[in-house]
Amino acid sequence: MSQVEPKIIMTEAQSSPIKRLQIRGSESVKPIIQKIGYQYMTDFPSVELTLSLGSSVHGYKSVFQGTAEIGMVSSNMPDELHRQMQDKISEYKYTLIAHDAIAVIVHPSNPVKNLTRQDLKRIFSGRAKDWEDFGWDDGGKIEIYSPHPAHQAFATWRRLVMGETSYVTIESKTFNSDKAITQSVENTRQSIAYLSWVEAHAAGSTVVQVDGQYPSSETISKKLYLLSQELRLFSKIDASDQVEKFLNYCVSQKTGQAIIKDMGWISIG
Amino acid sequence: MNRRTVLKGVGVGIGAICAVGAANFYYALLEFRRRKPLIIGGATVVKRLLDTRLIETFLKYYPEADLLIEGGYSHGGLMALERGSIDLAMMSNHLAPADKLNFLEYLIGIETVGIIVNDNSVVKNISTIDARRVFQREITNWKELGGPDAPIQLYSRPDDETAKKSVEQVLLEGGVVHEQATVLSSNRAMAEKVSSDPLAIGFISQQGYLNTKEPTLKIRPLSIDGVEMDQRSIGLGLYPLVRQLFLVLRDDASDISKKFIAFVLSDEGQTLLADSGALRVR
Repeated sequence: MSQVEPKIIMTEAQSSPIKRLQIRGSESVKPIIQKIGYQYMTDFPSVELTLSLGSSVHGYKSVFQGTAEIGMVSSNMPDELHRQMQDKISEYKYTLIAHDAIAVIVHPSNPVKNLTRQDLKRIFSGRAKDWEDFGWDDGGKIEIYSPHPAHQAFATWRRLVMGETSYVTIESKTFNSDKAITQSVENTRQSIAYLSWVEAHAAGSTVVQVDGQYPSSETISKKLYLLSQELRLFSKIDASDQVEKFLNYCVSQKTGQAIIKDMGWISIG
Repeated sequence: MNRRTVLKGVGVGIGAICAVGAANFYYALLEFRRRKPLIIGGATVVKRLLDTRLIETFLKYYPEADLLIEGGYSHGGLMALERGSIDLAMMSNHLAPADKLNFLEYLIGIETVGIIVNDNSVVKNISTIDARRVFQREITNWKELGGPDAPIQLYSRPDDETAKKSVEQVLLEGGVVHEQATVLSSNRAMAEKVSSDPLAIGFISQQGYLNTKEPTLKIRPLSIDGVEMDQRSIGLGLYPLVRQLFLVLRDDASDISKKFIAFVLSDEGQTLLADSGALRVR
């Protein structure tokens, strides 16, 4: 009774001349990888990249489980995953490809120039309701704007500012696009909002200091600005040549980093 | 002890040995024949691609699999997987929630639809919003799309066809293609019709487009919101009419479930998926 076994090929080592790589993870890294990936496939037509989006956790998990070759991550590994993978963690590596941050923006007429993370937590959880508490006497009631909870910036904000136990108040107004946020803040005198620094910078929004530091490409890449985040790729140390080739492309000043600078993002220097 | 008793003893001994041997043999046979349950549930769009050739081929290799596949929705599939009532969940477009660390999500293929026009059409690009209005006949003249002052001839496919489902779910966000559209029965018929009618607009799966791409057929996919339909934009999710198809299993999955995934991702499985209209990912 002989059973015919099909040829099972789980990796890219296949008869077809096309090399296929799967990349998965954080939405924050998406715009960069879309741009670099497009150029990469243009330069190397025998490579096909597939991008699937979720969160940083998906990036870590998929690489650990082997369902994708490259993970896109914008936050640290969750503790639970770290515990599970403890013995094997040395078999994986990070490749830093860009820096980003969350910027806090207000109306151009707002005289408040600096807020601490504690202030922000009080404002966004709804505990501090009036601009008067922050030195703007005739500021009136604070209008809170936030990206939609499905948006990556919402999760990042929770992690960096709100913490485990505080929530963005339900009195806040949520928006689906960065453009809608920057425009609404521009039009509303008492408003405050947060979003990716790249988007705030591109829109020319009025940015406030957080804990005494303005976000800029210098303060973000040196992590002096406290709401900074690193955009990284996560992969196995002994991944295939194809994976290494793509990672090298991303960090090379002539290719990936030139694209990142061109997009107005903060390159790795 | 007489000779008779000795012979009797030998007879019983041989009988016992035979019985044990036979039992062993049949046990092995029964074990081999024991059916291995494999229940697959979730997104119908994935089911349509697995039915029927891929599943038939899998069962040829693994006749012991007792396979049951049921279409429905992605989230229902995930819930059933979590409760352990199914072995594999079919999902379209989304990964499982991030807190499900014990779920393994395998991307198995990508389903793409192109909006096609006659190659001679002066219209090269359409916005998502305009495309939505064309298929719901809120726009009926090419003039509104930057073309000639002439009526748009709208072509569609039967209701159960995958590309039509994609157009309705992804582009029309749950709406339906207008009932006045002329329904064509195959990719080939769609390609031929659009090729012969300069005022036509229709849709075709990417695979259908590749299969019908020959010099005599004058069809061209429109770029959507300025993004052309090609391997790069589809893979990176820049092109909007794309659905990623996943199979999800738990880390404690049965052997036969893992074999099914391995088969779907094998060269043969991927070729069969491509024949059913998806783009291969491995």
